[in-house]
Formats: sequence, C-alpha cells, structure tokens
Amino acid sequence: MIDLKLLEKSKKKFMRKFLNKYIQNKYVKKIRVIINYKPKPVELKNINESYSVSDAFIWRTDKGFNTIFKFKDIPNFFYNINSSAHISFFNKENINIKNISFKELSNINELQINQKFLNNIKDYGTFYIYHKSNFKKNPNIILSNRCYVGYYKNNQMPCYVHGNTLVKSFGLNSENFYSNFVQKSPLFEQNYFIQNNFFYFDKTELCICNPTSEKIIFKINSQKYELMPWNMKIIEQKKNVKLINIKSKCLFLRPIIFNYKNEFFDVYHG
Amino acid sequence: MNFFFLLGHNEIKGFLNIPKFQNRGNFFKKNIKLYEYKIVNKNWQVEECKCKHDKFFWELSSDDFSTDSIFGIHKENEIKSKNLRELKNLNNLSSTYPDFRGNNKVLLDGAGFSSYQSDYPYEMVYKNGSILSPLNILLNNKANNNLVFFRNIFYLPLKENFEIYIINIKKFKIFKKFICKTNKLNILNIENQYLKNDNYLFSNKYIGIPIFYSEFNKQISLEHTHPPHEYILSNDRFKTVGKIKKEIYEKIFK
Repeated sequence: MIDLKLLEKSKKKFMRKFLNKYIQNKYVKKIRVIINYKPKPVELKNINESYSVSDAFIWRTDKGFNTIFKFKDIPNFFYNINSSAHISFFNKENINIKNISFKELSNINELQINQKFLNNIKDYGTFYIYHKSNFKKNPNIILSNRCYVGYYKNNQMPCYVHGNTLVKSFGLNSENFYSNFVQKSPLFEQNYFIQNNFFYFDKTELCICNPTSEKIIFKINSQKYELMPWNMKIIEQKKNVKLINIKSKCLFLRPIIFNYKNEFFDVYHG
Repeated sequence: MNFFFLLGHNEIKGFLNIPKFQNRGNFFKKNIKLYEYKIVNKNWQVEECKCKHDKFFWELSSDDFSTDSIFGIHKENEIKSKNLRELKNLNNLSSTYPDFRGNNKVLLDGAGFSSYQSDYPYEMVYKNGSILSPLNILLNNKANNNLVFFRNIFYLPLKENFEIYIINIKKFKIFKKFICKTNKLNILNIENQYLKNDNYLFSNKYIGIPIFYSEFNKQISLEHTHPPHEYILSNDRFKTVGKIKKEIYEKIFK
C-alpha cells in the first residue's frame, strides 16, 4: 500500500529542490533583480581565483573622533598560511590618501587612526583591508575580513561596530580588482527601514557609503542625495524623527549609525 | 522566525525595541502580536506580551521582564496551546533579508548607552555545538568592567548546565571555566589578565550569541562577535571551521 503522506512529502521535497536549482541560476537571479522579485542584494563573484573581500570601513577624525581598527589574521587562523594585510585609506570622495601594509601579523592586530596618522586630516572617509599570499588552493577560497572598528573621543574607551557590506576585493595572489558585490535594480527602488526608534536621541548621524562603481541616488525620509562611486557621506537626521527609511535602487545600502544623547554616543550598523 | 531577548545585569539596564515592520517596509496587521515565552513546569508558557507599544514598536525593559524570557512575533491562532513542548517556527514575518532585527540596548543610570541590532534566528535554536570567539577584540584592558552576555535559546524547555571555557588556542590550555545554563542569559565576568590575543571563549555542547560589554568612565561599548564561518565566503566554510573546532576539542578536552 502506498503511504500517501510519504508520497506527498517526497513530492514537496523534489519540488523544493527543483525550484531552488532554478532560483539559484545566474540568469534567474538577474531577472529577479530586474523585476524586483525577491532580488538577492549581495552576489559573490564566480571567478577562477581565490580572493579577499573587504567591507567599506569608516574612519573618523572629525568632531574630535579617533578610530581604532582591529582585525584578525584570518588566512593563518583558518588555513595556516602566511599572508600580509594591506590597508588602503580613502577620503570621502574616494581619493586614495594612504596605504599601509602589515607584513608580520599577529592573531589579532590593531591600528590607531587619528589626525596624526592621516597627516592632520580632520574629516572622515573609508578604508579597505585585503590579505595577500603566495598560497594557492584548489578549490579557490573567498575570505572576508569583517573586522571591528572602534570610535572614541579624548581618553575614552572605544565603542565598537563590525563591518556590514562587502564592497571591494583583490585576488589573494594577484592584483585583480573586483567590486559591485551589491546589486542595483535597473528599474525599481527598494525601501530599507532601519529597525530602530530614533525619537529619543539628541542627534543621529547616518554614515553611508556607495558600495558600487556607479553613481547612486537615494532618499532618506524623502530627502534626495547622491553618491559617486565608493564615495561616502555622513547625513545628520533631525531630532524627534522616529523612523528612518532609505529608498534606493541600490539593493543593500545599510548605514553605520551614530546616536547621540547628552554627552554620550553609540555606534552600530543599521 | 526570529526570537528576541533582553540584556541586563545588576545596575546595567536592558532595553529592547522590536519593530512592527519588516525592513522593506511591510507593516504588521493589528492581529500580529508580540508573545513572551518562559519556561514553566518544563513547558514553554506563551503569553501575549503586555509591554509599552505604539504603531511602530514594542518597547521592553529589563525592569519589567526577566532576561531569561524570550519574545516572538505571531498571531494568536498560530499556536494551538499556551503550553508548548518545544519552540515552533510559526511564520516568516521575521525571516527577511537583510535580517529582521530589534535594537538591543544597555544603559547605566546617568551614564552612557550602547546597542546592537539583534535577533536569535530560529535555525539556531535546534543546534548543538560549540562557539569559538576571541576575547581580546571587543573587550578592553582599560575598562572598569568587562562582561560577556552569553545568550542561549534551545528549542526544548530545558535548564541544563553546560560549560564555557576561556582557552588559549596556541597552547591548547584551559584558563577558566564558567558553568552556564541553557535558555538563559549567562553573565561571564572577564578579568583583564585573560585579555590576550590567543585567548578565546569556547562553549561545549551548546551554542549561543556572545555579546561583549565594556564600560569605562560611564562610556559603554556593546557588540557581538561573528561566528568564525562568516569570515569565509567560499563553500568550504563549515568544513574549515569544523576542523579547527574539532582540533581544539580533541587537544584540550580529550
């Protein structure tokens, strides 16, 4: 006798497997982005080499801020391979202002980013970290050093936040550059409501970086802004605003948020 | 479906804002409510959460709710009984991409505050295993107080002991053992002497979310670490991390 329940279950399992295969197909994914049907906001590159992807981390030396950057030696930790770490600093218009390399890495590494380090620049911008190694592995590996960035004023203790958007990448053992992991819809804007109540804060700052190589236009609570490729902006929000909505064709535009109350501040990713 | 939880400990007050909307802007209908889950007589007792709320948020405080309670969003008719034998995945309301999050905040009276966007995904409540998290990345030598809030949610209504260790991953040595409980907000006091580069937290048998709290001169930092597999985006991530955890387990605990 046929077990109908089992048959039904197997049918569902088969259908799910069948559909999944098609949903994951690269052309279907592109169509989903175009027609705005459950688009996948972030897409990795299917390339024939190992690569190291970096978030767009934010440095601040404006308004008395200092920045501290902490990162792990992930190639060594996970694959027992020697690597160096390369950090590139950009101003808010994406102009390269400084590059440094760590040839000898500890398990956890730390870098102070202050005005002195950035040749007296009192501003804000982005930085990226890539690992480099002669190591070759088959199949290829993709590393993402999510890292932690702390912000502090005077002699205070840093308040930390982790990276939250994959933006730029280099081959692990090549100079090949990759970007545009974050997808853009050609037709439709998407809402991104930050899931916090901003009403009680004295001030809120949204640090937004364009994660793509194309100009993006976005609205924050109906106010229009634009950002050139990989540029960033700090946008201040008025007091007593409860909800913040970011509307854009860029499918993953998540800010780093600074909230202020009295003499204290908090930082987190949106 | 995601669950949510409050933080808090002694003078550290916890506040949790849970949105009544998905991040793509779908606002919940009125019949969707927030429910509090607590363990009573070896069952999950589920009750509508009587907390402050408005059109957009449910707002909870550790003054009014236990940090051992968990919170879920659903309709009343999605549960058959108010006493459950296990946690159920009732709907997709909080299963979104980007992830559906609540704001989990801690505050010291007359002092600073810090928060992170928080959730406990349903997929995690079924899992046993171990977490491996570096101590010296988010805590601070300079701090007056370094704590780790370790939150476990397990699908069965159990209050079972398990251990979390401070270990050195180079020397394969245990420095300290904490006895923790499942379905509880565990508080781990971390002394400065343990804030060294190769020192990690390692949990045995149960997983959870480690949230790192530091306080210095009334300024607070609160952030969680990533699970190690999030540093690897290629398909070998679980295998690679599993191998490392297995090596640590075998060299230290066997």
